[in-house]
Amino acid sequence: MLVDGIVFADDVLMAQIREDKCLDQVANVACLPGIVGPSIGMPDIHWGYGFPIGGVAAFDLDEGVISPGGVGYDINCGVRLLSTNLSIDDVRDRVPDLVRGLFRNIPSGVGEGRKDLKLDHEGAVRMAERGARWAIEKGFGSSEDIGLIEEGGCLEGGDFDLVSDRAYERCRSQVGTIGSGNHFVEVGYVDQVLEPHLASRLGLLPGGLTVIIHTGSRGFGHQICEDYLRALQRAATKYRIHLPDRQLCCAPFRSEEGRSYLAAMKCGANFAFANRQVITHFVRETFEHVLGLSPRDHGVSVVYDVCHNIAKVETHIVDGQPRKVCIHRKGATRAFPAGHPEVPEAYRDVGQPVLVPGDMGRYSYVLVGSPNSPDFAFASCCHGAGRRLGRKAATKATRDRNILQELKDRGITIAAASRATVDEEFPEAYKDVAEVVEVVRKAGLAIPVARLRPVGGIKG
Amino acid sequence: MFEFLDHTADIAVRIRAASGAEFFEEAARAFLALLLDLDSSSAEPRRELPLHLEAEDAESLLVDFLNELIFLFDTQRMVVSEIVVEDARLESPASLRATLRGETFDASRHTARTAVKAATFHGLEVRRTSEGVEAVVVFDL
Repeated sequence: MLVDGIVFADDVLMAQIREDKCLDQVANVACLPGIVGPSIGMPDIHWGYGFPIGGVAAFDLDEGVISPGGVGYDINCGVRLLSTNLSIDDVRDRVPDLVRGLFRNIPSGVGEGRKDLKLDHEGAVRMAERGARWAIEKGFGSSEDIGLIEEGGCLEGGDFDLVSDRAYERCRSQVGTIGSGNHFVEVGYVDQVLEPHLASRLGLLPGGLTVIIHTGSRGFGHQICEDYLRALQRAATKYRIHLPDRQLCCAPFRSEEGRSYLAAMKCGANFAFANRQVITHFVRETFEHVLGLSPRDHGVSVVYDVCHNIAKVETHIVDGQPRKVCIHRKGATRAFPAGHPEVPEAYRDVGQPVLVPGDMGRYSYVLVGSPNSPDFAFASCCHGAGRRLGRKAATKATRDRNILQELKDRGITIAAASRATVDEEFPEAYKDVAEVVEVVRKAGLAIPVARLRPVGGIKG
Repeated sequence: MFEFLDHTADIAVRIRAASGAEFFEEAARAFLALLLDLDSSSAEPRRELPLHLEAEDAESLLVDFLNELIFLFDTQRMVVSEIVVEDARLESPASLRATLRGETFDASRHTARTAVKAATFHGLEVRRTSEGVEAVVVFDL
């Protein structure tokens, strides 16, 4: 190990964390060349491929590396939160209709995208290089949305020429789809306001209806990751980088291979921004059709959109000095404090919103970046609850249960493409996100602002 | 034969086979069991496609093979129900020549279990054993 590994956790979470091999993975990341600061694990850390999920690592631009394993297959998997003008009390009876409408309107599971959204080559290039801006140019949303997305919904410097034909084939019919696994669109409401002033600045009022979108770059991002894992395995041999695990493959940040991966990864990230933007439009359409409300009346607005699988060049304080680093966040979000120039203007004095979904049955949290976050955390925060049970164990635990009915009895309507997914994603498969957020609060990584409770959702 | 093993976020499958050819047949069966609910649906060999893969080693070949099945489903909606292996070489450089048989996914007859993002290199090792070949491959879901 070239540097320390630091994991944020309390005794309860640490006992769970020790059950899989994610701590070995924190140690493996600490062995990669040019790592700056510690190899970090967030409190929702669990076993990933190469890098752990819930891992953060920064690398020097001259001596360090960039790794597709530090980003993950689902490039720019992320979360978008929408607020509305509606209160849960106004629409509680209509939630089942709303969920059915969302399920009809937003392709999920293994389904293809809507026929009117099939991309030709030129469209794919524009989408991959412009991200959410492409979606808005196509009429999916308004320009006001752009300022409320991390990086303005577009990572500059994406180069479609560095993306394979196979990746292009996989992106053509997948814009505007949520996919399966842990991805979802969830309807909920603000059930607890923890910081009233901050919450109201984010447009989150008690009882206010909200929508969370969790998805990423679909097959397009997966193919980019797959292609570059292979290319960077060769690069690691070429540059004589010792790899404790093949999934940790990497190339020097400034090498041709490293630069190519970054430019291709940006295309994947932009697809994900476009995807969440198009889905936002589908959500607005659904509110209009199902509830018969005008856009002014439902007021579905973007609160924020965060990436949680990404590599970026950012400036951070290292050894008391500002320094540019290539930071990898895999299953971790950025969390800039108030005053940081990269926080959108609307929230500059509040801090960057951090979106931490929990499980289908309990709650999710909205936080903002904290000025008290230690420098060595590189302004990062957790991204979710983290799984407690593997998928096989979850399937076994739910064999004699009807999870959809149990959730319905708790006032949560779920529509899903696959019963298997619902069972694998049942609430107890996850840690209690409140415990994860409590560690975040105590460590000063971010400030909890509001808690959201689900009333319905669609799953893949 | 194959069996699913647990992995915190995703799923792993152990594949055991007497020969290289059987190894890829089992890998295809495991992938099908991941993709479809086989209690309520089955895939028929209605169309076929030739496949020829070359890779630097057996691990890369297995990952390429499984990712090809994911790619075919993602782009052509093809569900591969069986493969006929003409030649499988696990020694480096590794190669596979086979015919894939299957049909187009039809939601009225097929129940999908989950979309699969990728087969990974995570801890992957294709081992020769006294009974043949064995590997544990982790899928990102």
